Amino acid sequence: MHSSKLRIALCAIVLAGILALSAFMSWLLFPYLEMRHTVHVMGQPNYDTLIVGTSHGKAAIDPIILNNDCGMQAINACLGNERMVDSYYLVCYAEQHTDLKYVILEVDPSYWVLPAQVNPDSLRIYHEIPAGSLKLQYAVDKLLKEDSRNILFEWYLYRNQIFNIKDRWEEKQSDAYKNYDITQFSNAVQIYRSDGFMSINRPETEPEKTDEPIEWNPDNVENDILPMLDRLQRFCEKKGIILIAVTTPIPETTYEKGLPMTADSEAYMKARMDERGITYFNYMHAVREGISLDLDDYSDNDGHMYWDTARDFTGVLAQDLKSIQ
Amino acid sequence: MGLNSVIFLIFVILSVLIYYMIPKKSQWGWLLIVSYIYYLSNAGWALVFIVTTTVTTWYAGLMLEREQSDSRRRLITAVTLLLNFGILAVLKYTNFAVGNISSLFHLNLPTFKWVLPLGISFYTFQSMGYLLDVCWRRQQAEKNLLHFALFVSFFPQIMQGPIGRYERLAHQFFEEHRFDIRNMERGMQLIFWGLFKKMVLADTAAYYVNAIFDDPERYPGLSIFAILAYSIHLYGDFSGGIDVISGIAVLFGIELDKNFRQPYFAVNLTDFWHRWHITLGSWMKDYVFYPIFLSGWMGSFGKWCRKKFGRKTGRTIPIAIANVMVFLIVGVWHGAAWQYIAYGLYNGLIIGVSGLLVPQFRDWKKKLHIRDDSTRWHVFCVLRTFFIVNISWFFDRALSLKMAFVMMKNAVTCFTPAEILTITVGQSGSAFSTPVAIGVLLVGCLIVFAVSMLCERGVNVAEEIMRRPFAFRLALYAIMLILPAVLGQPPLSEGGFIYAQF
Repeated sequence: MHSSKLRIALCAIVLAGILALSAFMSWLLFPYLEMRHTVHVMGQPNYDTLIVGTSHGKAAIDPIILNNDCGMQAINACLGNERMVDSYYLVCYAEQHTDLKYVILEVDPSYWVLPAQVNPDSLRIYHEIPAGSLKLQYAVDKLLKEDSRNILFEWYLYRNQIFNIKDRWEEKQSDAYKNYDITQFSNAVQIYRSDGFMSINRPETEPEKTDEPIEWNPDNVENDILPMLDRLQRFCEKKGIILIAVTTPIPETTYEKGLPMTADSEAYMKARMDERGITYFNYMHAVREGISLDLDDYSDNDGHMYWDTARDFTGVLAQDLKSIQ
Repeated sequence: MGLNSVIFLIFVILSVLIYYMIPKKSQWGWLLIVSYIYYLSNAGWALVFIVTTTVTTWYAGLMLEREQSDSRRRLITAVTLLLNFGILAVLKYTNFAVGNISSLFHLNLPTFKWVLPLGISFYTFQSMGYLLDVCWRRQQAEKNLLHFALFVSFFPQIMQGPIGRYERLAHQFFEEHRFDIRNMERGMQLIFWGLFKKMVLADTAAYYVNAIFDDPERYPGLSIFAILAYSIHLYGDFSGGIDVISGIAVLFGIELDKNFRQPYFAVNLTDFWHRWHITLGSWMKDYVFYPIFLSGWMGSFGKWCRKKFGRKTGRTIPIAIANVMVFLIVGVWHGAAWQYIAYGLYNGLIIGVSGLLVPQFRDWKKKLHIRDDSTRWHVFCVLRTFFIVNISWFFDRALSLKMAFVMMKNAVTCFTPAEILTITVGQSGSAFSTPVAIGVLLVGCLIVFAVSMLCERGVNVAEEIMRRPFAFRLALYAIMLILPAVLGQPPLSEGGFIYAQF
């Protein structure tokens, strides 16, 4: 009996050791990315507007313009591969740290039909939220039904970083990492700003755009999206936060190529937002001064704007936001 | 709740803990509760189907026990079989039938967008086996509906089998089980082994399988590689899943029937089906083959064959025909598409014809001085069977019957192995380069081969490990725990396991 108890204790110690080593590996191997900086900035109580959504929002909604034109102190926490569950928890995190008045939720119909994948990109936000009850709830909502390796051995999703382990270790010891330096996130193609906005530079010669946008199909809307939207809305209502949904413009050529499904996606989004009483600004195919639908003003067919297109678009958005302030 | 998900892990841990904490008389009741929780959380409204099967089969069993008249017994059995297999047929095969009718008559009939209730193929077969056993007086009817409900819904096996027999499972469910550390260890061994086969072997091979089979025109020169990868993928996925399921059952002190016995060591196709998905094969043998073979019309047909073709051949023809019919059903069971029917016919015809040619094979071996106990002959038979089985996998995995033939043709006319380098294994961050991925597959296969070889020689590998010192075992289990993270790949199929869609 004594021997059995000792063995069980040893097993528990070995298991705890493995899990602890795994947690260390997850911390060590995860590269320093812009979301670490964004979450750090979100932890400071000096903004009242949070922009969440996908990469379209990241490149399209410029917080400086929002501040200048309608007085919103905004942080752009959009991210490529950001799902509704991620947006929800970013809002929860922000609400814990600042007096949040507005949430601008950028909704991209193509993300609603994209199956959720658990890979390093999809964990960028989850990884950076500090340990605590919020992260535990986040894990339950995002990872509970997923492969158990994603929680127990998170590092397995980016295990190839083991070949750069020296770099990863030095990075973790560096001042840039400790001080949340953002210099490394900018390059010739794009500039990452401290408010989270990703400014995409215009190239000297316009390249050929070969990406194929995702096709909309209402039957393929992922099961978790609408329930999570409902939770976000309830949370905002409870906390007195104004929730505004926005769909950013896409190139005219992309819109027309995707007809009739692109038009269908607009109708779908409007119906879902109207059902919930969420203020919704749809600019997908908006013909308005200040909004360009010319493919040359976008870096790809999918709809990621160049910095100046974003500046002008945000100006239009700011005017519309003024109407609900 | 996929078998590899966090929530399933928590569910199993809590279920096992509570199982051993509650009074032993209540253990079966707890198993029933968790089985239905599992079913509800995975299938929701589809619970109505498993409840229908459970109640109708149980009630039919009671009626059969009370009924003395043979014709009424046959009627009760026939109605219950029709109802339950009818539900399975409608849900699984309606769209196939509608699609073929549309195609044949140039119509545009609507198809139905419904999802198959979880485990319907498995629990329907399991229940109908019980019903037939009661009908044939091999089994007494279960008087307690809840006892029977546990037999039908026992959660570890509901997703992908094995297909159990009432006589072997029932007493285990209702016995009292004490906490036994050896059971915990045996269960964990099976679970780790299953996860290794699934997450390291099957999920790595899956990237090649999906890339090539889903776009064979892009990779015409990789058909051979694709089919070999599929043989690894299918075995690792299915047998790995079964090992995990059996391991979980062992944690509760329940031994499920073995479903795999080193199938790629088979010496002929009949032997293969005695080693692969064993419980399906034995179900088919007991409830389809023998009823067909021993039926009146087959008896008359057999008499006619013996008159026409002589005693030996005449006796074998009915067996061959019964085999073809059995495997036709096996093919249809696998899916509602023409390539699965071809899959079943292929297996049935080879087994049927092989049976007919036994005297000829004996003569050829005698002329060629081949001894059955010769090692070289044994190796030849194993490789030959592996080749034959791999041809059948084309039907099983290809997107259509036409594509299966296209890929088979490509396998003999086109060979460009360098194309392999263009296929990425894994997702960003955890992807392996081709040499590493193939290295993982080769080493993994060697490990599985070594263990299988030991099992084939009668070594009980699990017991041998449990005889080793504690420190050795602890180190081994720790390595097995982290191997799926170090070498495994994220699954490509939703739900994680291929047979979860049955």
